[in-house]
Amino acid sequence: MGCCLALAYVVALVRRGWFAAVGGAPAPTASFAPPARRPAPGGTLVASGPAPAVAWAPPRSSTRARPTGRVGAGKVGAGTVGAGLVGAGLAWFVIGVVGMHALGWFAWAEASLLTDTAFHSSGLWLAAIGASVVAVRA
Amino acid sequence: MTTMTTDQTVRLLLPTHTRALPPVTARRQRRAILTYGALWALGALPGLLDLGAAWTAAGLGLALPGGGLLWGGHPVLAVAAVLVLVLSVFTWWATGPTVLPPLVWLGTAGLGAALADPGSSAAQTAALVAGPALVVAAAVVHRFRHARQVRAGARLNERLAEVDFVITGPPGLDVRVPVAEHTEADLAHLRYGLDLALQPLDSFEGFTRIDQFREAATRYQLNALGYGLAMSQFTRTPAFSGYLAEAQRNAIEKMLDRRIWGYWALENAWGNLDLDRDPVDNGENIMLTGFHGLMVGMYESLNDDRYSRPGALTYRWDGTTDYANDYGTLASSIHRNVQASPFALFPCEPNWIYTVCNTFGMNTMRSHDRLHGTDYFTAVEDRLRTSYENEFLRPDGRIIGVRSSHLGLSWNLWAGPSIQITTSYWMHAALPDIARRTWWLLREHDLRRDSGTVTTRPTVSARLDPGNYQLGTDTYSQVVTLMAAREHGDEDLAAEVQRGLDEQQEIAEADGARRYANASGLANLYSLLGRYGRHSALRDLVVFGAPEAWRAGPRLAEAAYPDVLVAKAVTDGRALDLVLRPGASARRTVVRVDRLVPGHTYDVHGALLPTCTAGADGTADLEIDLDGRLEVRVAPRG
Repeated sequence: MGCCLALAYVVALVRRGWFAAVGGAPAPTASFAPPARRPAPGGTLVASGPAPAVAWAPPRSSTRARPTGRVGAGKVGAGTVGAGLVGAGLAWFVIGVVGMHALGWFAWAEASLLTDTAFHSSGLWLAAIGASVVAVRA
Repeated sequence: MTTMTTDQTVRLLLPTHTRALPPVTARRQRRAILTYGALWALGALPGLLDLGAAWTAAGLGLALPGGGLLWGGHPVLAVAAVLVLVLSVFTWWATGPTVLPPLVWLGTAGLGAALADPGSSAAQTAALVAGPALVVAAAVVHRFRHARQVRAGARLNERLAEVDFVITGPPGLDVRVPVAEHTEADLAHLRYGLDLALQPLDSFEGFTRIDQFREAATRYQLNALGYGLAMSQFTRTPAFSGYLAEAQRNAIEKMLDRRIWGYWALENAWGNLDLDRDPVDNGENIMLTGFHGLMVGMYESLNDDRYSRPGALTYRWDGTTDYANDYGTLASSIHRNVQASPFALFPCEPNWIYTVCNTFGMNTMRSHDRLHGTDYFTAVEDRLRTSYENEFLRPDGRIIGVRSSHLGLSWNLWAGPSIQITTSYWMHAALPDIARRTWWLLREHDLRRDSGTVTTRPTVSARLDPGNYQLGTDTYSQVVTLMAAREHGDEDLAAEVQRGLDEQQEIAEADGARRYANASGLANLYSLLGRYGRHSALRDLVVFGAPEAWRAGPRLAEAAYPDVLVAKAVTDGRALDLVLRPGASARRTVVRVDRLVPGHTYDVHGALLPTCTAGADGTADLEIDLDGRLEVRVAPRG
């Protein structure tokens, strides 16, 4: 059970990291969009509801040329998120090791080698995902 | 209905598969087995050379996932290792991280080494024998199943020898089925799609948001939205651009948002170990290029060619990095990838080839060839046909939904009725004979009509709404059945399914828009494609396009939304016929007509004034009182 919770926690963190890095927010079900409106010819365009604030929004059209290199700099926010995941993952790993084996915390996870391994590796996986985010966006 | 003189009848038997594995698949599987054989031999060596417990366990872990743990006296961990490996394969399939299964395999071997206590020789033998035994068992099972499928195919061929499939030809100026009029229910469902599409480009309210990798990804909803809106224009309002064309453009341009296509950067990184983020200039990702390309092909067939201009489809990563593309570069990338792939079909996610995804690539090439005079599809048609008929078809006629390009493996989970139905629909434009045969097989074996309802054979994929991963509902299955039945001219069945959806599904309604309350966004948006479809509608739109009269004649260019709902708009090249309905309260409003002959006077019926004169730009504004169904006709005087 503890192993599953740890995994679910990691998944939740990854989802949070993903949406923070890439933008948007998860909504589990479909719903209606705000009612749209368009004016009659000669009328004034009425926007259909406010656009949510986003970290990045593309222009309506673009004719920019394909880049010659792949050197685009990632956003500071994304790098921060990735670095944050790396830091949090490593910290969680260290806390797990010290807490479990020196301070007697997390006894539930120490009960078997499987849960022990899963518990400790969750931090390393989180760090690896953070590193991937940093690498991909670099 | 127009009598067709150019339709053809064909007979198409199932290929007679004499070999258990088709050639490319066999080569890939041989390569995979040889690789495993080398790994097994390497894994067996430490034990044979008595290199100690740790090395022996590590070697056995290579020969069999969990083998070292089993030998070292940790059977529970050995089972766990196998389960984790299976999970990693599932994750690989779902999101493309090719490196994950090898890493897990190596990791479990390392764990076995770390925990190694010398085990028994019996356990060592078991660990070494189990892997090859599984391979042999899988091969034997495949042979038996293949033989059974060959016998089933032979029985089917006896019947197929007497079945004529009608392959519809060019519909001509009169169109195969006359342009229809939206009912009030049709318009209410259309408003659901219009409201989604007409929101600001950076806004995605109302879309199902779960993940950006699999079927619930927003891009698939945008694809379905674009297709549904285009189909409504094609079969109901071909002489209306206005907010309907704007909505299609919005769906196309929302696809350029990095939140929609940025998944590829991650998939390419963990699937191909390649940090290049380019979503088009690569050897895979047909789930973007094929699907997005078809949206553009449909739009351009009915409206204008703005997305064929260089850079018109620029996927922007950030302020300094973008990937400039257009309709032509999407089509040419698909063509190039088909040529380069040994299977002809090429992958969506890294390594995974889906038959249905490749139908979108074919449709993109097919429509581009018609619109721009290229020969992308015709140049690769034979290879694609051969591959669909050999590498991706079981002897009993069932299309294989997915295959690993690295390993040559597939699984039946992705060969259920929903996959067959969907493929028979999207394949109808490019490979109509195979599509017709697939539909015939579905009618024979999978679709059941029972007291006014139509159901499919109960399988996992038939009871899944892939737009939100909900199990236990067959709404999506009903929706794709509706699409395919209409496309294949099975109108009685289609009407039955449509009635079932409208009467048995819970309906949600808001501000005049209507959707199926318990279905995902994907299912709701594909229901538009089914609702507005007709016999060979997809094939006509992709292969033959809009009649010239529709592209040159007068059209309704602007109208207020939702004040003016357009139930029908059609032109014969000279006159314009409209049926309009109010979307809000009764009101007096203005609509604009364009593509009139400048300076000419037209008789107008249904508007406040009986005549109008086109301005120098070929437009005229008509004032109308809209308080119910209103027919408007604009025709040249005399």
